[in-house]
Amino acid sequence: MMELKDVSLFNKLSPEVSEAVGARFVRSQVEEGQVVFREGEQGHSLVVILDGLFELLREGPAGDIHLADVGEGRVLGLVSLIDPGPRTATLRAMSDGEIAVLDQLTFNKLWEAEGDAAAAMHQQMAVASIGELRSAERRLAEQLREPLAIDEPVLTSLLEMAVFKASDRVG
Amino acid sequence: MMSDALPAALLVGPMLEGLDLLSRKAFFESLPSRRLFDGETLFQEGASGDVLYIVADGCVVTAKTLADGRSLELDRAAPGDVVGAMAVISPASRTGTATSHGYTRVLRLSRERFRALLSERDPAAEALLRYTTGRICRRLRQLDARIALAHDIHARVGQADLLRRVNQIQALGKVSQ
Repeated sequence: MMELKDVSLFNKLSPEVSEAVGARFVRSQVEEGQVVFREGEQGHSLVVILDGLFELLREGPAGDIHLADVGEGRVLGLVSLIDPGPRTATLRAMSDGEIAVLDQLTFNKLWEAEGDAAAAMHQQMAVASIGELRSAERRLAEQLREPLAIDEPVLTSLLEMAVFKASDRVG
Repeated sequence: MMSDALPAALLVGPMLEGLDLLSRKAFFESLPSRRLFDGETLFQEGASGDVLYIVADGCVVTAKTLADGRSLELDRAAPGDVVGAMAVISPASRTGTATSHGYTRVLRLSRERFRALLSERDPAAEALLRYTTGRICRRLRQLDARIALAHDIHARVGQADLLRRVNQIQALGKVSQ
């Protein structure tokens, strides 16, 4: 069992700020097999796993694909909190457990009520999202390390247009 | 000078949401600007980064060079966008090389100054940070989609390659008969 203040997103915050932000989270118990959020549905909240074992799944052509096991202390949905949009994976409990959830509306209210705490928390979230972006950049570079094994003009140009190029306007 | 006027993309764009026009203008005008010719390097991959840039005119493309020399674009920033903020907010080396496309003008904000403004809870700096975090999250979504597509294409090529080998073996079988 983990406490919010010990989660990576919080441990650089002062005890006062950590408490102010922590108080905005809603804790809930989950049962084995319960889906916390589903791939494709609109997400606008951050989920911290406090207790239990969970799995991240993605829909595949032949059933669900297991992406990863996640447990205590993991922070999920940071992107959804900052920039609401469809969830990229499903989070399902593999055992009974406990989670803490912070939704965008509540976080926005924190900016009005306790600006200093919200600002400090936002800086931590900025650093965490940059960490995720750096690792996504590395993963893409790693994936493209080898040029295509055979000459396939259509796939090569698709790769050139949609994978090697960044779009002009993000979002 | 007309060429130094702040473009609408900056003044009324989403970067300093919540601030009035005069405060926006004051913030942007407090930042030193730098002009770049087409193809000029703003920063190099691997260098330590202590300045972020706001694009006023033109375009800045950030790209990573793969081991075989191919260039992988990470980001394209148009007027009103921010470049090089990652290394400033979360200190580490630059993940790509940033180059100007066409005549470009950028405004500079150092980490030191950004930090100082944030600790004073300066509204412009805070708005800039919120804008930047939002943009990083949208880049993450875009990058995830590109990773999935690259994965799919490489898997298809693997299948096509396998099919080609099977055909070759079958053709060899016919020749030997």
